[in-house]
Amino acid sequence: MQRHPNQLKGSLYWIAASAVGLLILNYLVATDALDWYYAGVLSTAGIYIILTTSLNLINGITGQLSIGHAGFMAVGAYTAALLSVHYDTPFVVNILAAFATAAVAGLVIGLPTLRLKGDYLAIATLGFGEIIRVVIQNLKVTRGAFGIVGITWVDNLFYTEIVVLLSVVIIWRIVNSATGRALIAIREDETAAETMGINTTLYKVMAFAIGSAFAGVAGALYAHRMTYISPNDFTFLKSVDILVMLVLGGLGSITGAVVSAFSLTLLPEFLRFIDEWRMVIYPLLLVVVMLFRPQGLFGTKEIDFGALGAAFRWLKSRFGGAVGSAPQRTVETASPSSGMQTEVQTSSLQPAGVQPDLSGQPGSAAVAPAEPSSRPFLEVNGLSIYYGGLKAVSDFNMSLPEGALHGLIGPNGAGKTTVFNMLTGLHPPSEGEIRFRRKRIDRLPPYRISSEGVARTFQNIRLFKDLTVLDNVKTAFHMNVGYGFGASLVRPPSYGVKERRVTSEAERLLEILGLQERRMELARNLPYGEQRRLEIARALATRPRLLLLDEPAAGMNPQETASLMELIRWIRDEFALTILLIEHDMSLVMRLCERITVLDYGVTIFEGTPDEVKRNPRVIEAYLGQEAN
Amino acid sequence: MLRIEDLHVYYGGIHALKGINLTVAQSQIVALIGANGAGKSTTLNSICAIVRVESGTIEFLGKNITNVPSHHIVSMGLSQVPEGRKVFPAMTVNENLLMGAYSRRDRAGVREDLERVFALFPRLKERRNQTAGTLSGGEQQMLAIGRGLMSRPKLLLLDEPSMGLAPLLVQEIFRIIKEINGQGTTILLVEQNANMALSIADYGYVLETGKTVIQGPARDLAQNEDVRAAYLGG
Repeated sequence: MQRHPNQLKGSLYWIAASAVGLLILNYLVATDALDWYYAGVLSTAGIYIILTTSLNLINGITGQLSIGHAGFMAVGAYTAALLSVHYDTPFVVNILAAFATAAVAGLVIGLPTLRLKGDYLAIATLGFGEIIRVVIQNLKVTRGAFGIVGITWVDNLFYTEIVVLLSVVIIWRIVNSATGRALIAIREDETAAETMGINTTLYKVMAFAIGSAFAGVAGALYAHRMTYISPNDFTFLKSVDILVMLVLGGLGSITGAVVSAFSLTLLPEFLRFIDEWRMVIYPLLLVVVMLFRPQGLFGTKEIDFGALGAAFRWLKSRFGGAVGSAPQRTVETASPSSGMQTEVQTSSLQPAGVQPDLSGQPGSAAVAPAEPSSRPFLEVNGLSIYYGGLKAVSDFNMSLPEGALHGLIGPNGAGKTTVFNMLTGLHPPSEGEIRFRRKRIDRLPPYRISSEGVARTFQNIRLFKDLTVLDNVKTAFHMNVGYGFGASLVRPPSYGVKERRVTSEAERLLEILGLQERRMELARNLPYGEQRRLEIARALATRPRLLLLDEPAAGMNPQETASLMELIRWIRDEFALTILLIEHDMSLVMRLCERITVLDYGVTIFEGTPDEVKRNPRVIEAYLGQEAN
Repeated sequence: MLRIEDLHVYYGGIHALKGINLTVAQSQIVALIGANGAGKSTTLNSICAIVRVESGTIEFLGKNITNVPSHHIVSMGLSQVPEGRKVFPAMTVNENLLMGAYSRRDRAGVREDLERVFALFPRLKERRNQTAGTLSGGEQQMLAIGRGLMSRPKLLLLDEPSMGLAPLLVQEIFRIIKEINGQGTTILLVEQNANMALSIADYGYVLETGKTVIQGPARDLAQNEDVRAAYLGG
């Protein structure tokens, strides 16, 4: 929570730092302290910064692989060049036009390929990069291989820097908002992202189009700086250059992309004194960096002033007045995680915080299953699904009243998870219909079903592993952040209020699930049982009406399972939920569920109360075995 | 056979293991139980050098194996069946099992052990040419255990073999673990299903926040009031 004022202060620092930087640069150029040659190198660096940060939006943040960035740069460059030569339009207009045409090109490539999961984009962009070059080479208007000459010369470093700054700020704001969380979620786990209500196709296409559009802007800047462009400026090698800068800086880090683009543009200039050895040293440096830091210089981390401060303090403790010659370990235990250990110790044998505060008022008092409605809350009729010739689930029926706590059990491979996949739209059923609150949802995509109020957890845990516990939950607020894409760019005061609300609501959910002390840890570092609880917190953040839990007690000991049982009952009442759960732990299922459906080989073999299930000979034979009694 | 002394492990800044002490004697079944995050899996992972040990020693058959690379440890006769099965999904059942014998050069012995695994798990034999990804959860667990046996280990580490299995299968898996032990393989077992684990084990350790806090013969642990209240569900 305390992060927000810091973040604001951080961005003020950045603005101040860039303003000072710009002033110094312009002063140097104006007083001829910096000669025109170096001013030129600096604008080239600026152009590469735009190219690298925009490619980062696609490859690093969203996790898609575009390898034809130079193609989009070419679209922008030729747009600006043609406008400038034929219509003599002003620089600003050309920049905007380049943005627009490159965005359209991005849409044309992105729409068909990004609907699919997998690396189709890589092949499509590779093809596009080459095709656009060949097209330009053979068109009359672009004057083929001769290129276009006589583009208005705009080499004011100041203009370039302004465009660079704007581009970086826009991309930064996209990434650090609900939109950015959605994009990162797609990178981390596309399926889980969909069930959080994120329209993954839309967001992937959007990120790709915006990234490509900024490549177009970089192209326009380039055209106006060189005044002459030809198809050979935009070869595949150019795309590779940009990709190298991105990977070196760290896929997913904006500051990494900026630093890396800047230094890699300048490095060859500084290596000039060794003549042709330059061409040996430069790639050697790249290889060395990749060997020792395969995740890139910055990994997915960003440098901000907080990190700089911490680094400074560390250096000081290391080399400065090392009075408190404290070993490093004590510095580390000062992190938020140290709280967790003491917490666990005090709770001793009681598993960490599974027990919610049951004394709290049963919020919204929606415990009573509303007025008896004429139709059930969830109604499933004749649901079947075929994989090839195999019928995985056949003629599945289910009818749940609002507020029900229903169990779904059966042997491994009986089709229980497949039922969940059909209910959440991940696997559209081959036959049958699903009605949720009277509305048919069986033909809707997962993100729409999620927005109807259906949430789930996964048997094999699909957290966003490389995000913090808190960010996992914040991402799931996607549909309820209360601001749009525009607001995340403009950042009106209400934006901060709404973001803080998301954070505090996410922290409340973590509190309920007993994960508050873990909020700054990476999800991958939690033990198994806590990962399961985090999945429940994340599912609750989508504000569901129906919650599907897939083996919530797997990996928990009997005591923890008992606490989990209390918790499930409590959240059902507190959040006015209807819950359907798959579980193999009979102590939980039999005591928690009001009714139980038993599946075997995709067929419902029994439905009834726990006592009826326990006594049914077919269920005992197929599933329970002798342990039942 | 296996002796661990004062084992410390850190994950990032977290002190995950704070002094684990345990001994596994020849041909025993030893169970590790405890809450989530107590360090059970971390203990197994540090034996196999999947996580780095900060301090302390791990001795196997009298040799110090602390931080010795995993593949060496396997060829010394120690193998681990990881939590969550981790089978090779695109390979067939047969290929998965042969991967378990990767470090072995005695072809006849491997063929013999393959038959032994198929005798233990007739289901795997039926599905020997099916890819592992298409198996049900229970069959994948059987495959993971079978693969662990293929290196002909003297000590088998099992991490939550019953997780996500139907009650009927849980009973079967535990019966098979007992059978494997009867054939002469020593077993170190991590289980959330503490009742089941203690019912087949000879000796047990209770882990709490990275330390071994209670130990004793499995039968005594199962009777212990504190243990019952904390881990066995009353």
